[in-house]
Amino acid sequence: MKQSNLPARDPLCYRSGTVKEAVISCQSLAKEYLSARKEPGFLGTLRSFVSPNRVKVSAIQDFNLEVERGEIVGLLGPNGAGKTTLIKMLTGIVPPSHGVARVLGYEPFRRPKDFRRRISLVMGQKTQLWLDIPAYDSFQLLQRYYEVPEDEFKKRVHALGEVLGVRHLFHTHIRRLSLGERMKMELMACLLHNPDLCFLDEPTIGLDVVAQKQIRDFFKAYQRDHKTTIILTSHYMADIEALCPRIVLVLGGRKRFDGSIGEFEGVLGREKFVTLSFAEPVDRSHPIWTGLNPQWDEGGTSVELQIEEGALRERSIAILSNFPVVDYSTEKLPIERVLKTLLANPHLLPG
Amino acid sequence: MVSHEIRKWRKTISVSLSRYMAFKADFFLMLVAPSFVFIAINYNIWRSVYQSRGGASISGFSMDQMLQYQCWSFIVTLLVRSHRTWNLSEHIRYGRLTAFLLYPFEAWKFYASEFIAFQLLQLVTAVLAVSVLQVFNFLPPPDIGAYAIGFGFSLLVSVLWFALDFTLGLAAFWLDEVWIFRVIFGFFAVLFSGAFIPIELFPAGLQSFLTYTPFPFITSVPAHLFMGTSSVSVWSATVTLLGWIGSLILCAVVVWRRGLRLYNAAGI
Repeated sequence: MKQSNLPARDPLCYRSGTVKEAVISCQSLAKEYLSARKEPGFLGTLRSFVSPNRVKVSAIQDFNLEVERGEIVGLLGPNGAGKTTLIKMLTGIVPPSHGVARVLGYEPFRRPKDFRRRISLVMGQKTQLWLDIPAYDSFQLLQRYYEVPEDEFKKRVHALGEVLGVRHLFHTHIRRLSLGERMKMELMACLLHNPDLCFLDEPTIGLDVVAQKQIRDFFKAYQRDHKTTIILTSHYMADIEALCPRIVLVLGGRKRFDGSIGEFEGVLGREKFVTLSFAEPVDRSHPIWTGLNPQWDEGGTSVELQIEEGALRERSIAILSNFPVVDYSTEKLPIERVLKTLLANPHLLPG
Repeated sequence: MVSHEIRKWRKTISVSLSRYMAFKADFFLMLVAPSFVFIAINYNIWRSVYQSRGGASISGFSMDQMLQYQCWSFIVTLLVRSHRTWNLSEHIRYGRLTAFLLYPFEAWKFYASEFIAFQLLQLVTAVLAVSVLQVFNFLPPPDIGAYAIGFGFSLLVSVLWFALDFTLGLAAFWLDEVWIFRVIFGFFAVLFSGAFIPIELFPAGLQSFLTYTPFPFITSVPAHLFMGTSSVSVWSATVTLLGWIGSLILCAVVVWRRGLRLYNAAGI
């Protein structure tokens, strides 16, 4: 790994005051690791035992990223794209193979104490709380670790508990809590020290829709009040749409898109998503449907179309005049559909 | 700054104690049962050996001395050894270490606090055990000076044990399965420390070889200090022990730094 010669904290990278502050700054960041490959069956096991076949895998390649204070950035990408590896590097858990990362002005892998005090990581698939003791005991331990003054700790823990609706569960053993309740405790644990930068790695995974919405609403309000910089990865587009004005798409370890959510929605062109229901089955082979990517239901009484924004009025009038339409609705192309299309057709991405 | 640090250690120890004591049956099985089973087996085996030989001494050990040695070996085991750092390997393998890398309290301090918490429980058990063994005349009347030296030295040896166990646990950075190393190490630790057979009963060559290893410090030396029969002075034993502790800590630091570069935080 190339070690940068910069000091553990570079004051030039983190400027206070009204000037825009680069909370995260990566240049040509890369992570490679060796992965063992084994052929199936007993012979494969034997061969791998005698002469292991290790191949170099690039998890992240040539990654540049700048994040300013108070931003909420959604990291999108399929499983194995490199999002979590990127987060591991930015939090100092794993060292980069090449390139330089500065987070809050620090080189993350050196993990100076002040750096650790100012970040937090919520792992939706891993708990940082101790299962055999009540949440409040874990909070007290974290209070000591992060050196939060007693008064501030009490105020914060009760305020967060109130907002998340889990105050009555503070003295219940973590292992007896539901997944949603546990996740709320995890969120509390990660915010007790009022971090400047918060990494949320799939914080709503496995939660029911009500709990997902509660957590989204909580973070929205929390970020508004505290101006915390948040990096969020989630496979639930509702999380991204609700929280992230900016999206970074990671594919095959590379950054393939970095822009506003509006720009992301427009990557496939300015199209509207139109749903029509008919009184009776209609002719699917009619030339009117050409170029609209129709998605019919089984009975042919309902269709979803993608229509260019500029042609929406004209095409809609044509359809309404020719067919017995009983219901009509239109919306922007959902981000989920944009993402699905881009994952299946990465060549559509700019650059 | 110092007070913050002390409060972190104190709280981690207290939370670890709460965790150990969260489940009563588990607590009893983990802390008390294995030690008592071990002494019961040792004590009875050696008594049978001496009875079958008509009570003749073995390598200078009379039956009473051997049975006392076994009692002290049991007490030293309680004071010195625990396997609380076994979870370090699991944490490395399954990615739980990640959380400890993020806290502003070094990971080794967390594992050391856990170890101290468990040793505190073992210390209480050891004191109770000594009292019971005294009451039932398994041990001669207490010699306060020897007891003070024995307890103090044993607590220092527990630092050596922690450093050894911690370093072994770090092998999980390179290997998926570490338990076999631990089992082998545990076997050699019991055998060569004199926990079951006093080192004085080993062949002269092996005895001489063992003086160049940390094994005798794990049981034999502290047990003899308790009995007041140590052949080495407490000061020279302490200096050698500190040398071993220093070397092992240095080794642990190097292994930790190298291992951390290979850590992949599995599971997230």
